[in-house]
Amino acid sequence: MTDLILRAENLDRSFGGIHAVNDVSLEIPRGTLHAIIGPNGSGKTTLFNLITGHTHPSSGRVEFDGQDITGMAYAKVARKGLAKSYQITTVFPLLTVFENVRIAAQAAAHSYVFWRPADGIKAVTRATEEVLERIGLAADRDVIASNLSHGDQRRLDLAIALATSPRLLLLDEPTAGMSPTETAATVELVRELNRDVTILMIEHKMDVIFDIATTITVLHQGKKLFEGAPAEVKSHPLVQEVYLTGSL
Amino acid sequence: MTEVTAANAPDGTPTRGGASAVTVARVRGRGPARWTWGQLGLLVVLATVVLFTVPNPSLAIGMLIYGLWASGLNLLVGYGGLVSFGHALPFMWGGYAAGLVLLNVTTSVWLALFMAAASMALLSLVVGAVCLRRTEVYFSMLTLAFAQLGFFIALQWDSVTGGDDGLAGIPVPTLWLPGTTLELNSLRDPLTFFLFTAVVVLVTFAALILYTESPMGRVLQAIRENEERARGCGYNTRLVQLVTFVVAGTVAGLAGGLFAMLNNFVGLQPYWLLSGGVLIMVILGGRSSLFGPFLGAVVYLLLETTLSQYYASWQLFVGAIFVVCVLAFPQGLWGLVISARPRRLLSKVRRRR
Amino acid sequence: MDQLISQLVLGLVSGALLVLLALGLNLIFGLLEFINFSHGALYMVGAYIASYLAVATGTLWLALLVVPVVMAALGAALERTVIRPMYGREQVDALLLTFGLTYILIEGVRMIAGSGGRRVAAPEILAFQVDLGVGRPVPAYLLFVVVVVGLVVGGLWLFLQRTNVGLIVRAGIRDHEMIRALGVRFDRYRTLVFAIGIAVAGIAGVLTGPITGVYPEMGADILILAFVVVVVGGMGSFWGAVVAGLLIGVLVSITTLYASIYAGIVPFVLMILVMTFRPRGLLGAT
Repeated sequence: MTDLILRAENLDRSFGGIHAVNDVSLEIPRGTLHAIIGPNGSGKTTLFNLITGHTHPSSGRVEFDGQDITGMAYAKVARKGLAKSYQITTVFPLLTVFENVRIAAQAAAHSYVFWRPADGIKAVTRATEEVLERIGLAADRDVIASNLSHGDQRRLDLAIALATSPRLLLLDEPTAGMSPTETAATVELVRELNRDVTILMIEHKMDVIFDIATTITVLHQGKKLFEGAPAEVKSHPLVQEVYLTGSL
Repeated sequence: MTEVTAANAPDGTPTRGGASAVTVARVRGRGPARWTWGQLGLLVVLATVVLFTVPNPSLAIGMLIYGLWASGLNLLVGYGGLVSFGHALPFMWGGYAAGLVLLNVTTSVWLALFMAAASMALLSLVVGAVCLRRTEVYFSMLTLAFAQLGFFIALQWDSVTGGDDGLAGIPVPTLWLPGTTLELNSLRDPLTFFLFTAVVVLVTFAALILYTESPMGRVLQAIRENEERARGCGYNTRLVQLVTFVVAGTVAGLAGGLFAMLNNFVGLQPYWLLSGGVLIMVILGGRSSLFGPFLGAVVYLLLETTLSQYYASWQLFVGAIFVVCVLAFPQGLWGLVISARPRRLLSKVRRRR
Repeated sequence: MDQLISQLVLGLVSGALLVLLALGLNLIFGLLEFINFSHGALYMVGAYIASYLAVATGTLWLALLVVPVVMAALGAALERTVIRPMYGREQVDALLLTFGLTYILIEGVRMIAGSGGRRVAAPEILAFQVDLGVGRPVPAYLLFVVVVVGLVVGGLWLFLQRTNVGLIVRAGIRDHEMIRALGVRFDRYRTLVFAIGIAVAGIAGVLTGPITGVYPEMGADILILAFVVVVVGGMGSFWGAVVAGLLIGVLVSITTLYASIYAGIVPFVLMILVMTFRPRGLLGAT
């Protein structure tokens, strides 16, 4: 029995007649990088939402680090150590880069403190600086987030997720809308992050995935079509048909 | 600027980003930190100016009290993005609470103010829990409704509140200090009253600054910017908003208590004029700081007393100020001063070269 | 028993007037995404225009036709000038702006017409009592109000359901993203909806005149009740506003009969209960 960080069992969810996620199970061992691919509308984002508690499953259960989190509110799930980076860049637009990350960094130990200034909490400041350094935004710490370039905003989004010190990081298309150079840098970053945090990511660009993923799950019309190592997925005829030609 | 400034949360709600928040960011961002505690110094300066220039002592003291009330409201409006249309409720409540204590229990200033603040904190907890069931427009309408409800109760329950006639004959409160005992008589000894009020206001204002500077206060601003993301960081966003609601209510209760002592009377005013007035002070002064609304209160009261002498319809000007502020300079008076400052400094540097 | 019936009719009438205001608020909120705080003041302006027209022409009939048109034009003008700059800014800015407008409108009317109220006569044709078969006879004018409100509500419903413009408006209310995607082309629908909302408020103002007279603050109290109706009925819900409006009108009126000191409180207690147990409102969608 491997050490699982996340186990999803027979997740099911439909929206007004559309079976968005149909009996999908996932098992993600600690330390791996698990990717989910599939054409548009294959249920990737809904699957994510079922895990984070944004959407409640019609049936099935989700277990995070041995604990049942099915139907738990998003903020609670996040507190347990599951962080999500968003498909559409989601930052605190009018706060500085530093403030953006600090909000996340202080969440673990100092979230509801109101009797001392935030500037005085050295541990949080240090943790924030470390994350900024790691993500490569240290130079932009005083920039208002909405003034960053699109690529930098995506990285800030990632930095916020990372600053909560998660045990599982959910990335929803981290390279969406990025230039090839930015994409390469992000892939490198994700690979680096994976050294100490388990990652579950949705990705659209196949080449991005095949390099870095441990395991790939292919979704099609809400169902799990195939799951395996990148090489297996690449050569699997069914996957090629669905994903590369877009038809089945 | 990039095209992604108006990012949307995944559920489709646009993340908020108005001019007010820009100024907050500007103040909070690059090199502005000195203005956080510096606001306390600005307040001392403003209070001193008021003391020496405003001829009517009751108006001068009123400026301090209304200023504190407006600053507290800005926790909700500016920092939290929660526009309360019912901030008259905690102010009136504080007045009745302090007045009733002074009338029926003791003439102790401390106990009266404590009761005004503490009872309002409890009430805010209940009112806030209901008002924060939904945010944005719902919040505004619910706060307004609670103010209306409070108005009706105060009007009907005249055995306690004096109804339409108000709570009259509140005795002059006694201030027990280590070593001495003072009478806080606003008519006979306005200076002592002013100084006492100034101390209470400054201490409370400092507490408000601390709150906005604390991790909790930062989260409050983060929630205004993007509630979904704040939740994703693990925050119970409603809890943070509720605590803020209680803090703002408590401060307003305290201000109301002071106001009752100032006049030795609590009059039942139309709740929406009162709630509107304090909101105008916030908007006029600027939503991006705590000092701004204070300045707004002082300027507003100055305008009110001057204009009402000459024009019966001075409220027309009030409305016009409101509309112009929202349309043309949402950053308010203090926001204008701040944004004008660097430019002036810059031109000075250039001239020297 | 007689009193109860009369009181029920009065409740129905005041509820019907609330419905008109709440529907306008609701429509405007649906498409323009803000709560129009000046709705009550504009209703008051409509009532005042009607009161002057009634004096000038000797009857209310002309006012009933002219006021909606004038108010629609006023609404469109307001939307084009001061409200339009609010789009894309925080919701609260529009709320604050219309709040400021309220001050200007109320004070402006005070300046022109004085702070005392004006009486408005009901049309002479309707100056008789109708025997409903139960209770005491009811003034025909009150029944006329209910009928007019019914016609306006029905007309609005048909407009939204049966016309192409209504279809676009409904689509816009359902999906704000779509409005944004349509961009500039949607501007005139926002103007239209705001104008309609104000026109309907104007009609309510005209109808109110003969019942309570007109006075500068008449909009403030009813506006807050209309907010309550919107919240209780469910924001954006057409029939929710109708049901909640009539419900609150009748509830208040019956409480006035049996425990008049609580009458002012009843709507708010109802709203707090609804917000606690059913935050989306009686008929609101999730």
